Amino acid sequence: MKYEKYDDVKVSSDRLEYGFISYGPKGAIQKIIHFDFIEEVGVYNLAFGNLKPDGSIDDLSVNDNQDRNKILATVVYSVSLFCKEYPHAWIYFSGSTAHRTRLYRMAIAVNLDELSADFEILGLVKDMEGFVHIPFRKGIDYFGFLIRRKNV
Amino acid sequence: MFNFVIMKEKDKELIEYAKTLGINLTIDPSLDKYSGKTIFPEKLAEAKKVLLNMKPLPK
Repeated sequence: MKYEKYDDVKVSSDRLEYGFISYGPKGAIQKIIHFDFIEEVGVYNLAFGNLKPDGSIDDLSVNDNQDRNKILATVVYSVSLFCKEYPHAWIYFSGSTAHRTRLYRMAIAVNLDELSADFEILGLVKDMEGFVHIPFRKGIDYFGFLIRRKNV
Repeated sequence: MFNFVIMKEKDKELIEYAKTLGINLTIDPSLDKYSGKTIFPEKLAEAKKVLLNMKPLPK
C-alpha cells in the first residue's frame, strides 16, 4: 500500500479481533476490526468501527480524524495478519453505506496491482437469482468484496 | 502446559511476522471479550443475506 498506516496494533488471542487508535483533530479514537465466521457459507465477515468508551461499537459514525487512508491501510495490514493465522479463509466485506462501499472499491482499484500480488480479489454483483462473484475489475459498481490470501 | 508453550510460540511467530509488515503487534486478551460475539449485528445479517444467495466460491 502506498499510504502510511498505524503501526501499533493489538490482537485478540484467537486473532479475530484487531484494535488500533486513530489520532487526529477529533482526538484519539479506538478502532476495532472484527472477523465473524459465517458457518453456513464458510466465509469470514470483516467489519470495523469505533470502540466507544462504554465498550459498544459504532460502525456508522464519521470520526473525521482526516486519516481515512491511514485507517484503510491499517485494516489491510490487519487482514494480512489474520490471513497468517487463517491462511485459506475467504473474507467478505462491504461498506455500512453505499458511499463507503464505493470508497472501498476506489481504494482497491487504486492499489489493485499491489493487492493482487498477495490476494485473490472478487467483487459481488447482483444477478437475477441473487449475487455473483467475479474477479475484481476497475469501473464496476460492486455490492461487496471477497478476498483470500494467494500463494498459501 | 504444553498447549501454553505452543500458544506462546505462535504468538511470537505472529509478532515477528507483523514486524516484517512494519507493525508493532501486541497480543491483548482484553480484546477476547469481542470474539464470538455479534458486535455488528446489522452488518452480519446483511452479509449472511448476500452470501447465502451467492454462487459457491472457488475452492
